[in-house]
Amino acid sequence: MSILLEANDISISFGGIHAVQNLSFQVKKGEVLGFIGPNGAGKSTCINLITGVYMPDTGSITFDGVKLTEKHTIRERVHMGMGRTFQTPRPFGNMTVYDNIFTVALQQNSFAAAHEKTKEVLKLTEMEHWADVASAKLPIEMRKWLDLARILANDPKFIMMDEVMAGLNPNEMENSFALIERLNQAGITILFIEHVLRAVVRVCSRVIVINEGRFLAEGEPREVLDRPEVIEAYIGGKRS
Amino acid sequence: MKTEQKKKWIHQVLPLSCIAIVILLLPFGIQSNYIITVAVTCFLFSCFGVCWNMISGYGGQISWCHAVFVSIGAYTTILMNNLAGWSPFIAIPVSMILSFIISTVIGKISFRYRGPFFSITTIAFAEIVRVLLLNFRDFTGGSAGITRPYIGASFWNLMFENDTPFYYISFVLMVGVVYITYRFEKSKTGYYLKAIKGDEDAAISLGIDTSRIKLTAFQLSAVLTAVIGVFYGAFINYVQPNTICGMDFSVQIGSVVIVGGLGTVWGSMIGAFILIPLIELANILLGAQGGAQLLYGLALIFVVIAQPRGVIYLFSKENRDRIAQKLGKGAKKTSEKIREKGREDI
Repeated sequence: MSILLEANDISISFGGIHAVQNLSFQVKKGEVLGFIGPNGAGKSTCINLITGVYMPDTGSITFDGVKLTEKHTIRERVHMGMGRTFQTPRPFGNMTVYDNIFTVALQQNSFAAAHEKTKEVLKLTEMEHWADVASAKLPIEMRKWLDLARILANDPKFIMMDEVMAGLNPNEMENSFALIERLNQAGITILFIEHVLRAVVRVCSRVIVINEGRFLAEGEPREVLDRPEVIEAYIGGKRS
Repeated sequence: MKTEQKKKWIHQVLPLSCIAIVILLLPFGIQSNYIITVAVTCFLFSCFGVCWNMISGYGGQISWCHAVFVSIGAYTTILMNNLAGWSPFIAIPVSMILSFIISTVIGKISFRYRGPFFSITTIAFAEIVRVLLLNFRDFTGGSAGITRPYIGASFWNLMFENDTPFYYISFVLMVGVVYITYRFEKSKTGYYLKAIKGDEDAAISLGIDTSRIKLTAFQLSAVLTAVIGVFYGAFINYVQPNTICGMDFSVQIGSVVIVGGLGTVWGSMIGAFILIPLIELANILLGAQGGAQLLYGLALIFVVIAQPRGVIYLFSKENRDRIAQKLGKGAKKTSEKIREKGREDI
């Protein structure tokens, strides 16, 4: 598998807080990579560094062979093929589900093509029957799916999912697993940031653990989650 | 005829055509020039409201400097007439260029930042322009203002013996501005602008160039406002900084839209046709300026408390369904009462 994204020795501090320190990792094309760590480990900061919300103090990020600099704005990175969801879903509450997706699809398409793209995305995410519903009235699971659906309207190569399983019941989680698998089968590389470790084991082929902004472990999910240093990072001590 | 087309014909085309015919025939049945003047003011404020709505209603970027763009149009008209004897029609491109430049400067400065910066910048800018107009007395007439003297009826100079020609001109302007807004709403920029209002962070994260979209909407809104300002200047023939460029004027434009309904094409018109006649009535009953201010203050408070989405919501399908549901429940309750009474009788 070739490398889609490479973070090389990245660090960022906010005043005296070292949010990410000398972190290096790679994301391979076509994989679902789990990105885990306890609260405050620096996972969301990493997403913000990749998407261009923050620029690293040191180190570099390369995406699809292009070294990202300050000139690559959030918008440019999106049009290079990146997409992200937020921990709390952020629909355009003044629009229907259809218009939420259609608006994003308009960026790279004519009106007629954007309508086709919207229908295609609604079908892929199985949200057709929600199309005319005001997005502000959607249940939490569907809001999270809408976040993903809008990203899909941009034809992304790489999606960073920030805690998409949080707040979902087991049934909703199962549906979300199926959606993630469908997206991955469609050729999209996924960075899966999650606290629900059951979900990580279920959908990820590889996992990276960070703690206090530093690299901690990497490998096959079940094997990594059993490592003493990972257990210690999560529960603050060794498992008896 | 297909059912959809028939529905569209019955619900949209037919009522609008009837309203247009009534509006076009109205001056033939009205002898009073005063009523025509009020109607012209309603049409022009509808236009201002529709323009303001472009950036503030659809985009959620509240502007308090639209009086400046009206002033650009009105002052350009009167100054060009008085200094060179030029027609208001020549003032149109001049005021369009001026308002485009000014809106670009304001937008470039304030749209880089999020939150209330745009609104605050517009307030500051409107005040600066008002003070400049007051102090450049030789050019603008200062606080005394300037008048465009009557030199005989002429369409080219937009001067007429009565306000009936202005009635038709302002009606055509209103239709034109509404058409432009409708097209704008359905354009890519219109969709992006609504997305920005929905959630600006999400819009940025999805690749929408939010600063450029807000700037485009603001420029279009400002240029159209200045064009209407040209006709407003020609209509009132007298401009004075404290009235046409004051915060009151900007607030009045905003109030028209807030009362009618933010982010809708028809809301601005409904708001203008409610608020302007009410203000005129207050001026007659309560005395000049103060009465009008009191009234649109009260109207705003009433709308914000009673129906924050504006009067247009009362005509929406959502509201009709809500009323029907309530009436249904009411009817059910009545029938249940009758049944209960019947049981008691038995």
